[in-house]
This record gives sequence, structure tokens and C-alpha cells, in this order.
Amino acid sequence: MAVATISNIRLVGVAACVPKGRRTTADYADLTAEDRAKFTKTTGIEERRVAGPEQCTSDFCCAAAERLLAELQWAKEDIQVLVCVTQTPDYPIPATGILLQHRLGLSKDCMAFDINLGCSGYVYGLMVAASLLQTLGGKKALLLVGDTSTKITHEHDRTAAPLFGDAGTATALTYDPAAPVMRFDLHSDGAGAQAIIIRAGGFRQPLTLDAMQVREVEPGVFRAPVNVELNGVDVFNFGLREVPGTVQAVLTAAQCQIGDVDQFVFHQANRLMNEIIRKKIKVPEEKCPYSLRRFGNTSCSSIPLTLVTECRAALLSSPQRMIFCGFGIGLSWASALVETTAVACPELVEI
Amino acid sequence: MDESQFLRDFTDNIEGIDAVAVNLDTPLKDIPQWDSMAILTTLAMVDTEYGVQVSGVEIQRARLVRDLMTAVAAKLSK
Repeated sequence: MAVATISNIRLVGVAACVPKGRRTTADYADLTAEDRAKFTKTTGIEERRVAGPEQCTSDFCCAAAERLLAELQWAKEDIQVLVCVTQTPDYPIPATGILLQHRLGLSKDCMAFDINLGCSGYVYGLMVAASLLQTLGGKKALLLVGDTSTKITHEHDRTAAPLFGDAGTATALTYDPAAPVMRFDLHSDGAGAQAIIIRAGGFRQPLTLDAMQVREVEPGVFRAPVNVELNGVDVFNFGLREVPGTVQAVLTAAQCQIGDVDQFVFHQANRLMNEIIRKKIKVPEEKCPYSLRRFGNTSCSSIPLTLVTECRAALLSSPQRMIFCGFGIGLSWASALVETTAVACPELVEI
Repeated sequence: MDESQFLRDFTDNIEGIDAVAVNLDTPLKDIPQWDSMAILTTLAMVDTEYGVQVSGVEIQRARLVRDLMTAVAAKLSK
């Protein structure tokens, strides 16, 4: 697509919530001690947050949203748009966004729905929420983005399990004719659908007892067809191939140089992949925050979670010109250029 | 393609590898350090040093270190 421009919309707040439950790479017994050390060195992941059996994505998004709304002191009836991005909904139907409209006590005049996207989902959700708010020409929108990827990954799949952590986030947008423009560049490539996939549980391959049966798919790697299957090599190549171009497209459209941008907040895939991407675009290390070490790959939450845990002081103290870039399942990838001034950014919530 | 340079790039990039014992005709499965992490760092090395990408299928098909080099060389000549 050509880089899209959205006027009149301002990002005014971001909050994130993670489960209190922790799991460390050091405790992951499916890898040998030597492999664990190598894993941490390559991926940058030392620890992840893991939702309890009774905790859902909506619980984390709800807690983040409540905290953010309290800080912003928004009147709930002013929220006209609620966009929820998740691949781990409370139920197959109805949409989690609608459950959250009710749980948060929002008006029945608020439109609410879900978007099924993963690692690119924050940027997609931001564009959808901002576009709708601009079309409506008024008031406020909430973007609730989160996943409990640990629940769809088999614990004994060492090719995927030690990568993923759980989180939910809330981002607040307002209509403001004085807002600086937001720029978006969104892509998709269904040819790569097999790279990250849950094969069973939809209607192509319905949920059956057999689909829940765990298999040893390669020596020492266990999963069922209802679990996530991740082709690391294909995803890695995809990231290196596509991500630099989308970031460059947004920079070019904005007539910006690397030096004009304060932070490049990338989806937290794994450190090796992110670092190669960073070096390809020639972004200095200090402009590229990481939350990977403490939270792992948190799917669509990774960008807002990184904003809260790594960029909070900067967001609170000074205007920021930021590039957000998400990439992953679909395949799907997207970048945004967003400028903020005074952002509400409560401390990380833990439940 | 500079064969000795490729071998150096390959061995420099894999931690703990016995660079003296490994040559282009070493079967990958005989290299104890050739695991999923080594595959990723090799993909990264190939991307950075040679500016091309080796696919998952090509990695699976490669039996010898030389096969990886051939896959890279084939893309360079395109």
C-alpha cells in the first residue's frame, strides 16, 4: 500500500498489564543447561510472564484499560470506538471486544469488535481505531491489544514454548484537530500462512479428540494440532526480508531521517532477528528498546508493553516521535510513525 | 565464491565449533553445535555477509557444509 496519513487523531495514553506468574529460561527443563544458555544469548529471553489457568487476555486488557481510564479521567460515555486485537479470545464467539465494552462499563453507543492478528496487530489496530475515530469526527477510542500465547503453545514444544509470554494492553486515542499526522504502512502475505499456524480447531480441521492428541513431531518436540506450530527459519527470513522496507517507507513518506526519530519500537520477536533488522535500517542501539529479556515475545502486546516498561520516562517527560513496527503471523507486517506530547502512562500493572 | 572465506564465515559464526575439524565436506549432522540456534545464526550470517537468504527447505536438504555454500552461491549468481 501507499503510506497512509491520518490527521486529527492523537495517542494520549498507553498502559500494560502482565500476569504475576513468572517462568524463567533457566527453569525450562526441555532444554539442556548448555542449550538454555545458547537460547538466552540468541533470543535475549531470560524470563516470561505466564497467565494462570483462570486468567484470560481480556483480564489483562481490562486491568490495563481501567488503570489508564482512571489516569486519563475520561468520561466513559465519550468512548465511541473499542478495537480489540487478540488471537486468544475468551470464547470462539462472541468477540472479546464486546465483552470488554460491557466489563469496562462503556456506553451501548460504543462500537466494539475484534481483529484476529498477532505480532503486527498493534499497528493494524492503531490504524483501524484511528481511522474510525477520524470518520466519526469526534471523541475517544480505546485499543485493547493482548494475547495469552502460553495457552496455545505446548509446554514441551521447545521450538516455541520458551519464546512466548502473556500480556494485555490499552491505548487511548482522542480526536484533536491540532494533532500531528500519523503515518501507516500495512502489508500482508498469505503465501506464508504455514509459517505460524494452529492447524486444528477452526472449520478446515475441526476440533476433535484426535486434534487434541499430543504427538512427538520431532525428537523431543511435542505438540498437538490445536497448538501453535512455528517455522522459525521461515519467520526469520521473512523478518529480515520485509521489515526494513516498511520502516523505510514510513520514514520516506514523513521525510524523516533516522536521527529525527526518538524511538524505534519493534515487535519483540527475538534479539538476534531484531538486531539484524536494526542494523539493516542503521538505527542506533540506544533508540531501540527491548522488553524481551523480562517478558519474552508477547505477540501483539509487545510494542505497547515495551512502551510502558522501557520508554515510560521518555513518554512522560518529553515529546516523542516514534516508529512502531510489528511483523509476524499471517504473514503480516506494518509500521507507523506516531508523535506524542503528554502521554498518560501508568506503571506496569500486575495481576 | 571464495570457498575458504565461506568456511571461515560459517565456523566463526557458530559458538564452540571445532574450526580445525570442520571443512566443507563435513556432514552437518556430525557437527554437535549444528542445532536450531546455529541455523538461525547462520541465516543471519548469510544475510549480513552475502545479502541473500537460504530457505528452510534448503537448510533441511543440505547434507554437507558445502551444500549450504552451494545454496548461497546459486543465489549470488542470479
